[in-house]
Amino acid sequence: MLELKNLMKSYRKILALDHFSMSVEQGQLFGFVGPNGAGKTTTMKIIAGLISPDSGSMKLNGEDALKSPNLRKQKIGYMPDFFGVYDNLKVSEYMEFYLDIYGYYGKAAEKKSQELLDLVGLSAKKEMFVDHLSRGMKQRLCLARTLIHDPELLVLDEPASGMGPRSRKEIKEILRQLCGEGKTILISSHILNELAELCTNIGIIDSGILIMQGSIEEIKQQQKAANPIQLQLTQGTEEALKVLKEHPLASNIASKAGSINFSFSGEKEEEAQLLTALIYAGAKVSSFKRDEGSLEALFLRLTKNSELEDLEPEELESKVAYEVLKSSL
Amino acid sequence: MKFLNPVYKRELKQTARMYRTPVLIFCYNVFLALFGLFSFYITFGKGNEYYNKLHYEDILTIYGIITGIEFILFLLLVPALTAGSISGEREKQTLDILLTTRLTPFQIILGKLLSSISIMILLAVSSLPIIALCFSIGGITLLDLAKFLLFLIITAIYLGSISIFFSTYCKRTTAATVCSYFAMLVLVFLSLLLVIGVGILSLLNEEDISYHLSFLLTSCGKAIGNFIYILLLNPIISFFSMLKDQIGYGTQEGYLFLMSNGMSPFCYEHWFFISLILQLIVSLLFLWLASKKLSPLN
Repeated sequence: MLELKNLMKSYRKILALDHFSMSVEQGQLFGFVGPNGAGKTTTMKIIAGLISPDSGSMKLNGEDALKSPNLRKQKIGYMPDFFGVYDNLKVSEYMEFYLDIYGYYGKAAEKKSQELLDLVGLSAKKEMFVDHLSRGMKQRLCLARTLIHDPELLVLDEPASGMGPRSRKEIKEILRQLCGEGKTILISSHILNELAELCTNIGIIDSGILIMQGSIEEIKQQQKAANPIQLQLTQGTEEALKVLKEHPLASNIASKAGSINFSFSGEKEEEAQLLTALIYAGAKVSSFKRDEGSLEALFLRLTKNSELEDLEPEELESKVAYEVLKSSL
Repeated sequence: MKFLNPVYKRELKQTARMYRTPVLIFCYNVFLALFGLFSFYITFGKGNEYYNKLHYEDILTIYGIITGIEFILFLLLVPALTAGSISGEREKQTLDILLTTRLTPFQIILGKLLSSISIMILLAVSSLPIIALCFSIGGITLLDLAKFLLFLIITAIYLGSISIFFSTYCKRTTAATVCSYFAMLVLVFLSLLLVIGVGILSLLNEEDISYHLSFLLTSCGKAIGNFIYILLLNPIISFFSMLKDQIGYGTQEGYLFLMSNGMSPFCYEHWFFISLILQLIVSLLFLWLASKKLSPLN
């Protein structure tokens, strides 16, 4: 559905995307996660056609999307992380404006507007002025606006940011429903757990590089392999330590009162062989298991804290301008 | 309504709901009416006291004053109403959404310009009863009034497109407004000063300077040469040329055209229409540049 290859984007000397590659398959609810300033918004703006990359390619259903802005406008629905609404416009009129842009008039516009407002649960608010809506309602209204032209790919930049738990739950339900209807959704967040319970696939970005991509299960599996093994012994701690120290795949061994923690880079088969070796050496093992860990721990391990962590592209530009000014003085 | 620009339709709806709109129309007309009535009083009231007779041709001067005030109000209002059109969308964070829709940057800009012009047309039409004061005595035809309205609309397009250009280039509305007013000053005053300056500098090389100073403007015309055509872009000169056509040579407004003895007779005769056409062409150029800049992929 969407394929990004070797995207490069820099704001003066600051590299926002560094040979960034990513692919999203049809029907996926793809979570795009990374710390603030990692390059999520830049990537999403490139996909939506608001920024041009310095180099690289973007394919949408196999077609070169960078050379065809109309294709993007037709196939993609974009919802930015921050957006404003127009003063003195009612919810129904806000929808009417965007419906007008996409060629819906009169009864057809009314029907479509009702349909979309029903979907996002704002039918009862259609006579309210848009600037009087709560943040969560504005987000839902913007989502309804994004769906007007029935796009195949929804690009949602932190759609749940600033929302209360109830609104978050509601927007997640809507996204699941849309995914069930066959839409491909690319959704960003800087909180991995938030996406893990919603998305089918995850991509982790840091400092403009995609450092991991796969299904939640695949990522959990990779995470598990990196977690330490906890070994509980009733007898034979010395023998066990000797075996572990001699084993090429074991490292970071720490022992405390009949309990040993160590990193082990082997697969299931090697784990079984190690357990046999420990028992054969005379260690009485009461428990041998890998730490389950959490996705959040994985996320923190994978993403480094960069100086620009809390900066959005606009802030990055301001910082660049400041640096230029500072160096010229 | 189906074929109207969606941005224009939305802007109209929003403008109609703003309390600012009726206040603006009210203040605009009160200001114009006060000036109109005051000029009536000065011309006819005072004239009657001193000479005990009325000069009906003075109505032409009153017409010149009222239309002149209205034109100055246009010069001041158009940049204020249009300079925030694109930068305002950017500040409100609604521009990105708009750019990802099916609308082209040119359609967005056109919608914005049309909405500003509509307000200006509304102001011009609402002021017609005040200008109609001049009809009470005669001397001004409906055609003159139509010509004046056409001139106001083209001035609104001209200054509006320049302001929209700056609104697209500047990130903040304040900066866009300052640039728009500066551009207007350059067009209106600096162009005039430049042309007169060129003329005076050329005259300084002449031997008999005292002779030339006595007929400064007339002499300038010869010295300025082709520089005079810069003034085709100056809306104030277009306004004077309109007055020259309507109320005749020999009035104070016509003096500027004394400088015209360096130009071709055709241009002199049709200065008003040539300048309006040229200003429309320049407007299109500014709109095109603004839409180029607004396109996110440029």
